[in-house]
Amino acid sequence: MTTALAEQLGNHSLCEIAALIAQGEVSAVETLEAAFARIDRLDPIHHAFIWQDRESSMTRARWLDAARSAGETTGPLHGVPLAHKDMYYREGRVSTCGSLIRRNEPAKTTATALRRLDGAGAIDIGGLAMVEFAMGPHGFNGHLPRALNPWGHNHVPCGSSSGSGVAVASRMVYGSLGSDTGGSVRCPAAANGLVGLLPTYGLVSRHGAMPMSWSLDVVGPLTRTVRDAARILKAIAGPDARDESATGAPIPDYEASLEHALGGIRIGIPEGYFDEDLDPDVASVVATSLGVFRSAGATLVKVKIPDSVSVASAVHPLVMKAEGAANHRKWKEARAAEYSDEVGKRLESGYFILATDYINALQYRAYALDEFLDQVLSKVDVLHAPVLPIPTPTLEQTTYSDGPAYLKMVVSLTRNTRPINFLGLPALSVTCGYTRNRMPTSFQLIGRPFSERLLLQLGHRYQQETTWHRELPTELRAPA
Amino acid sequence: MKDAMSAELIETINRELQHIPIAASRWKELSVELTQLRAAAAATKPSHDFDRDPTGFMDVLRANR
Repeated sequence: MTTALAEQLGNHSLCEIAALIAQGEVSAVETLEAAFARIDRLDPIHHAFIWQDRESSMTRARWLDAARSAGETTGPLHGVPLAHKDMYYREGRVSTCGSLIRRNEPAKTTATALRRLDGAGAIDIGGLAMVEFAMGPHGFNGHLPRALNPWGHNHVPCGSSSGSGVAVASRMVYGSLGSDTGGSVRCPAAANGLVGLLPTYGLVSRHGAMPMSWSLDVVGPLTRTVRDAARILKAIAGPDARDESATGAPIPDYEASLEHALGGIRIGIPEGYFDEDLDPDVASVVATSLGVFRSAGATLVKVKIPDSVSVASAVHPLVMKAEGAANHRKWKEARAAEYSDEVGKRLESGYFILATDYINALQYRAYALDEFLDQVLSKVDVLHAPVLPIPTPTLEQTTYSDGPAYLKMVVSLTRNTRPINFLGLPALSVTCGYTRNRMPTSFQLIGRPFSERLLLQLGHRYQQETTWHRELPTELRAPA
Repeated sequence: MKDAMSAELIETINRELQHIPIAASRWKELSVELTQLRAAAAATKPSHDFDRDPTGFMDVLRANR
């Protein structure tokens, strides 16, 4: 496999490479060999992978090629190499969860999302870097080599799905599952110039995914194109008897309905909360993206954001920390030294939250959601807002300290994403340009419950009209 | 301060009930963080509804499909 061919195959999107495999233009084995060649070249620099299982994935690629030769295809992801945040269990295999504590513990079950991707024909080639136990927004994990953002090695990849962002942006794999409890799919997608999808709470089963916060965790993909995200979502969504939150509505063919006229669609421009504490550079880039929708026939409508969003943002950490602390209790008592300093500290406050405060916070979610639906999403079809309210920070800015500047930065990274998890609504993050530091930034489209089809239609239209998603990250470009 | 979680209170709860290994230098930081979280919780009180289920947001999501 020549480097040029490996790069050429890597520049295809997920759907494009799936089509080439389906047409017999390239085999699953060749596609996988090319992915390995890119990983060999790039991962020693970018540190996206925690582990790879090349032998099993090559065996599967050969089996898939044989199946295709026999006239059988497994599904719309036949032969496509993927890798996922290392928190999706496969029976008998270790998922480290980015931790020391779970580095030797084989899983007892297989995640429903993995099982469904297997069924669609994907090849799962390894576990990707993540913040320890998914607890942190800027991507650093003291137990692992630092995952580097391919758009600028001096800037963070964000997290907690840091390896997912880096591996997909670096063209090592064609897509990845992350998880989003307060922004952990959308933030690394934004920082790495990708598409990130937060499905409605309950659309995708969490069975076999590491729990961080049971009432906030959502499984979602990071991809290069909106069409790729639509294909992965179709594969993984749907009811699951092993996750009571995974509901039973029919799953539409998101990809088949991507081409849709935008006439009559109302896009909300937030007045309040999302436009507060917003970096002017980010504000300018994100505002410019609205012109694409207006030109495509959508109507732009200013909409006042209710105060409950600010309350939701403030109370989200209370729910997350109470649930996370309860999950980690046994290990925090007996194996505290195995946590990194930063993540160990993040868990501590959860042990002193009052049960009544926690339950009242949960009860507040229905109130806040009702109000958001009534005051925002009854007036517009989607809300358009920045993902990251600040330009992607540098490594130096995110070096752990107890100082106020560090704490403010950590809180601000998820300022625009965590209220959406609290409400349980879907959101699609799409790259829309660069800030002055030459790092990508994104808008998110926030929709009504289970409105992923509309979000994907809008995001796809944006990508049809722009080229941000086709650009090669800075650190991957050949020197001039 | 009303509703504050003092460092002394947190340390006592931990010593008597929770038994989590926590560095002594953390009590003051935890006091600040937990007082902020208590304030966040207090902001939800005016809208509290006796009949609302803690998982009611899932019903709202499904009802607005």
